Amino acid sequence: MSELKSIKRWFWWHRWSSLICTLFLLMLCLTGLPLIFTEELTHALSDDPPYTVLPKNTPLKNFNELSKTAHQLYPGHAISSIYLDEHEPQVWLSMIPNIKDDPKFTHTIQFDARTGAIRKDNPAENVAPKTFMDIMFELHVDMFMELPGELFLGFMGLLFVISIISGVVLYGPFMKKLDFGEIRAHRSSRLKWLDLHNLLGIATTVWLLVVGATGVFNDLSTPLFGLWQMTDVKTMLDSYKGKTTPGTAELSPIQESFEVAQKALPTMKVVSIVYPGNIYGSPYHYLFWAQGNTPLTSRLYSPILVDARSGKLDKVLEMPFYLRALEVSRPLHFGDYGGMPLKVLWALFDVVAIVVLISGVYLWVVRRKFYKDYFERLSNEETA
Amino acid sequence: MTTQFKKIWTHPIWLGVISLFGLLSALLGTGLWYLLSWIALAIPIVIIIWKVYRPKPVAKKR
Repeated sequence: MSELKSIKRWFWWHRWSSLICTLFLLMLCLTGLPLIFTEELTHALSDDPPYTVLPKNTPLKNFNELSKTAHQLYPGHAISSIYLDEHEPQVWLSMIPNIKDDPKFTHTIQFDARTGAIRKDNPAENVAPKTFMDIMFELHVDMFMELPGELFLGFMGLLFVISIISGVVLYGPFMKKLDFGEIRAHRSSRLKWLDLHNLLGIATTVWLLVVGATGVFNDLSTPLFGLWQMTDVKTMLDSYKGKTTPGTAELSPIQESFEVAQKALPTMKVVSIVYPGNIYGSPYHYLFWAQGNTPLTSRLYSPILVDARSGKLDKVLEMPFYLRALEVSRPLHFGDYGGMPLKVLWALFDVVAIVVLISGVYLWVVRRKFYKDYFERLSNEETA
Repeated sequence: MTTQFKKIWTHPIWLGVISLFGLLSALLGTGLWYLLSWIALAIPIVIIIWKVYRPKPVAKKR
């Protein structure tokens, strides 16, 4: 195959993969921009009351008491999960009228983790007004369409990855006569934008590829977790077949179970508890998630199952390699793993990506004459 | 051929290696590795800004 023919073929791939995904990628870049700063923005936009100042090593309130307070406030409702805030001394306790209900009926109480005082009692997710960050998040993850939306955006991400790779291949022939980073600003605006598109694209290629590919991977998280539940988890729960999900009255005290789980993985920190019957947990167990304490292992969560009736340790689960990989790939998509300077750099890269996308569309709009000339020139060079 | 390959690809390959290092160093390390990550990832951004705002003069000396 002649070089010209091969370039034209790569060009076809670059044009179509980019054109199809551009609009969605633009949306992802724009919604992603505030999401980089989720922690800071949520904090700034929240109307949560300030914390009482207590000595740094004040022990945590007993979970049994938080659970009692919650049940007194909402008699008949079931607790579905407890989450220990990573950054603040608070505990998020979620309840649901019936554990089998749709998760959108979940409502969450924020407790001060040390005093056990209620900080905030939030309405159920289906009636609570969506915050700006909620909307950005949902647009970015699934465009309000749940799994089909996730898979669709995953496909758009795949096209984006193809367009990056084909773009890198095309960079070579385009740059034959140019120095690195040369921008022909004084000729036509087409040339200027082409040079800009090439420079911005090639200088950020690795970042674009990593964030694009990890984004696609994240879009597959629902099916991947489903796969795990249908295989390993199912096999493990087989011995419980025929048993029922324990009701609130049958549950073993949560504080003791929490301590059992914490003792099972002493080098890790238990950060959340999923109650039996929650669709994200086991029908028969408290599911505890523990995280490590090094930069890398803090991304790797280990599930611990404690029998919810007896309060005895059942098993520390091994996560399969594909979920391990998914967990490690998450920070590489979010950019939240290296402090504020990394977040700012992430935002700058994101802005560059937006310019690459828009200049790409511009180059397509003004394409006709330009590429006719370009291919003619290449073919002359080849025959010369 | 090889000189042309070098001319076209030297900068992009270096930028790619530096970016990859920056992305991974903050993921796998802490402290000094954070600082190295920030410096590494700032390099492509600085080069872009430098190239865009300081275009070469029109007339080439040749």
